[in-house]
Amino acid sequence: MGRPYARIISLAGVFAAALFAVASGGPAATASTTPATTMVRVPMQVVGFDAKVAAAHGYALRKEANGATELVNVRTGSVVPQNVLGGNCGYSWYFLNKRTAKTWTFNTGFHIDAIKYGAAVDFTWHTHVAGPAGYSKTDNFGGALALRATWQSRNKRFHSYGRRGTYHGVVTSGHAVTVLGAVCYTAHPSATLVH
Amino acid sequence: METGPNRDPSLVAHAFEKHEKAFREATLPLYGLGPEWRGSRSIGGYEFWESEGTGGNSAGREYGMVHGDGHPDLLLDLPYLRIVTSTTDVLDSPLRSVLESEAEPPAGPEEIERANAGEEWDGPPPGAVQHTADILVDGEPVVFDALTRGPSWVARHGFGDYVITIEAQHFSQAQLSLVRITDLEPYLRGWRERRATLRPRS
Repeated sequence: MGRPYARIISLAGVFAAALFAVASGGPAATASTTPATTMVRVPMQVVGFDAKVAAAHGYALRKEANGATELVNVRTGSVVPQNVLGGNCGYSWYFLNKRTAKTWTFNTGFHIDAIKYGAAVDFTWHTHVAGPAGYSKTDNFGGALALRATWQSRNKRFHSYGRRGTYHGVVTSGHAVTVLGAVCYTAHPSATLVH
Repeated sequence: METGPNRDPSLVAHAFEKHEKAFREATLPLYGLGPEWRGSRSIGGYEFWESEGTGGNSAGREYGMVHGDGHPDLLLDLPYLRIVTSTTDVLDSPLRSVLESEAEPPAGPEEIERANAGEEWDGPPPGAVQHTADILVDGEPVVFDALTRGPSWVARHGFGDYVITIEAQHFSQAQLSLVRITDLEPYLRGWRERRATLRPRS
């Protein structure tokens, strides 16, 4: 997805499995012997918008009640979806997707920079989709995580469409508590889907 | 995800307490490997979900039991097997979603964006093989729907009132035997040890 108006900065959201201490447990009786590899990811994250650049392209910034900064098309007044949003302790995402002719689904989640902040041990996550003719659907998630850097509801849930038109969805609120006691909050990613 | 400079250890203690309590008060049967498994065991996450609004309301939950020293996004190269018991609504979700979200390394943001450019959610992802797996459950052979890609695989079967899903990395599918857990203590002890094992070094 191109976002020429966004100031995109590569952050050190580095995810290196090798940096975690490992204490060996009992023998893995049925374990396979696939060779070990080390994965390092350096994600690109949107960390903010430059108001002047946005204005030059016909967009304006708008502060929402939930604290999120939304990008609005000045001509149409419509909110520009920001599917993936980053911050100092990771990133979160929200995508709306067609599942079948009659149903839609969504992919939302978060990734914590576990090296710096520790992996997540608890979370709550709330999303909402508004559509034509008063269509309204809320999905809530929560629970205890067993030290996970990532949580996601990857198109696991799906719902029926209402009338034809544009559906707008957003992570209305959500946070994760990490094992080091940090609380990481979502920056409210959003998406639209035309039915 | 944004955080401030403050840290609150009481939140962590509360989360650990909540985690153990969820399993002690589990409202679905919990399954694990039998005594022949000599590796580590741990409780491995409790999650609930609910939907409200147009089209009606629904809710579900799941409990996971971890076996092995691996971890789906922190220790990618060690054996990991999570046996999840959940409500039956999960049978409607594509097995592909389980593989990609629970048994494979997490995707970066660019990969997530790329994946969402497609619209095929029910079929196997590229490079994955859809098959069945014969697994013993309480001594009875059961045929699970399964999906394997590289060292990761998932398998799922509905049992009427609940569903068992297996999420695995670097763990053989052969001769798996699941048994209903009657003693939670080894899993709680294992969880406390696992917490220490997975701590960041800093």
